[in-house]
Amino acid sequence: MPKLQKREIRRVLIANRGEIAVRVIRACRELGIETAAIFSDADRWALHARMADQAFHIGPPPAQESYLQSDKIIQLAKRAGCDAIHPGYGFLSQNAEFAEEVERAGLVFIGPQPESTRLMGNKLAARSTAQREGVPTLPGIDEPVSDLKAAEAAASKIGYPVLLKAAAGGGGKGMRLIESSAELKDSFERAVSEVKKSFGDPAVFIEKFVAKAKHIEIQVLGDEKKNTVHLYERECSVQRRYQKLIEESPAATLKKSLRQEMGEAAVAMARAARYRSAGTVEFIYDAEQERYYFLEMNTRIQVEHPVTEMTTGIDLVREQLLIAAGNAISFRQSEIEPRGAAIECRIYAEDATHDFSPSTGRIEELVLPAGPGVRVDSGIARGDEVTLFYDPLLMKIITWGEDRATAIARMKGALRELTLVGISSSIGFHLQALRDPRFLDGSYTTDFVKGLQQEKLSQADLERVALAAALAYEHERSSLQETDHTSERAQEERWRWQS
Amino acid sequence: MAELRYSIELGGRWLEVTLEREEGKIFAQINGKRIPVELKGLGGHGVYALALGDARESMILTRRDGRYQASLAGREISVAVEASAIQELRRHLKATSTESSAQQIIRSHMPGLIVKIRVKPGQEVKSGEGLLVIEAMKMENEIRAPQDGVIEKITVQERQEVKGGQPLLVLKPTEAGEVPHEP
Repeated sequence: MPKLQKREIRRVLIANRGEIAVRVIRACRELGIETAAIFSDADRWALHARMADQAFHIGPPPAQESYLQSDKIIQLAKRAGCDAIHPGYGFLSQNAEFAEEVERAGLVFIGPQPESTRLMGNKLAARSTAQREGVPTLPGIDEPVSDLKAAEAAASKIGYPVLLKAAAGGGGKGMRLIESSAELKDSFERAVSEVKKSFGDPAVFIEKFVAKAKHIEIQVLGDEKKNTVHLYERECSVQRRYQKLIEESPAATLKKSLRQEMGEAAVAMARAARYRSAGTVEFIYDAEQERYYFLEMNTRIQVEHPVTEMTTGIDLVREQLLIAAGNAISFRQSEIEPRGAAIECRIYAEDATHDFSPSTGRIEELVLPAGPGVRVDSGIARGDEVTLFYDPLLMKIITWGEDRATAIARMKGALRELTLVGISSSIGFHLQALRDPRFLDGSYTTDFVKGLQQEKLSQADLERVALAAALAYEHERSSLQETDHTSERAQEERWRWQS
Repeated sequence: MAELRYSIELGGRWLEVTLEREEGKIFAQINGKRIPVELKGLGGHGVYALALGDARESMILTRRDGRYQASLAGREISVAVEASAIQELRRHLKATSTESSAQQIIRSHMPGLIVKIRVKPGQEVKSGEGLLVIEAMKMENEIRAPQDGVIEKITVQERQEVKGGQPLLVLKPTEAGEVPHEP
């Protein structure tokens, strides 16, 4: 086990919940690091709180009053004798002020330096960094548009359709698709005031909208000894309302030469940001033109990091911990050799019959899939209550295979084995997506979900369900009869009465 | 030989199932087919093993609002089971009454705020058509018609806060047509 140099990290507070908190706890355990969890009222007996060595109550269920309470979190970390805080993803993970406060409190923030977060958190600053580094960016105007007139001029120069984006936005928030100048005239003022309300900063800019786009991102790692590496790509084009649903590596239709180029471009971005710890550089890939454009950089560990772990054999969260302790990255760029193919399905608590809105309920039964090449990163356990307070991600299923077809077959099997009773989930959606020819041939783009038809159950399916329901009904009634100590004779009578 | 006849409603369609017991085994008749069947509960939380002839599968069947919620390879469908005698009585009553007993109350499935009501009483709607929009969790959720019908009553207003399960509107379905989408 590598020695934790420079800084001793003996105890980590995980400022998060659910599956990522579980993930970080696991990585800490392997390194002999003690863990402290935080939990809101809704998470008192949640899996992550039970797994940690210590757990501290942080507040009532709403995130604003619990997982986003930066001062309380830092105080707790100090009280618990922690050396470091891991922010996970979401919540405070990309909050530069929080990272600064952590450092000011004498603790280690397991993530990039605040300056890197600030630089990449501003879309315009990130864009100009990309241009300086020679990384292609989407045709756009590199200054915020101050008024409708400037917006119209920019949009006609770039060519409709365009995206109106918040400079302070990210992760799909603060974006609006504008298809014509009439639409721009109509919605500009409203869009700016919405942006101001959501982000505090009303600056918006205009960017070209690529219709048939793939979302391809590169995982990077940096350390304080100025080493920066990339761990190749993940494709995340299966999305609904900007929420990723399925990710895979390698990107099925990406040329080898482009993969290399994009990896190097990502490293250039990370170096320019003096990036430490794990991060992801996102690109829009125009499949028709075979061209890539820098989109944004995410300065945190991402949900879909296991996909890269499966193909490279590298434990990214472990690397984060080692890097935070002052170690160099454990390997060189030349030693990274991805093998096979990996896919991840994000299992969300959602109700397909109600426009995929979040589903709530108690998990009555939970059976997780297993087998060769099947990995499950779950944040839930049987008996848990799924509420509306947090992101509805229940778990991730990741499969690996020597080739893409095997990874897909394993994923289908795993999804069928997964048994979840008590809430509705995205399992049905995932199985449908994995049958779709556009996914199977790799040609799918970010509008994939729109092309999925609502599937009707076949006659055979309906018959099977009808039979099962009739049998279940009969089973229930006869059990009731049995508890009444009804004799066999009386049962015969009952059968006869019915016909 | 004793027989149990059931009427099963799923997705607006009715299927007749007859169960017969013969020498300790159960046989089912459905759509002109007769097959040996067996159902075994696995653990008591709604997970079942189903044997249809030689075929085997797992299915989830849970009780909700007097119906079954079935989950088949991740796809969900709501099922009602009625002994056929009762079903015939119901049909008879429907035919002789002036008020339709087939009313569907559409409820909110989550707490939230009504931001937009798209329909008016008396309006004809098609299956899948957007009826109203509820905002919850910073997202707008479209509530859609589960089948073709006419809006009989709207029990909420725009800007009203609603609880989970609260009735929103009453839909009078037109005669059962296709199986609606329940992926």
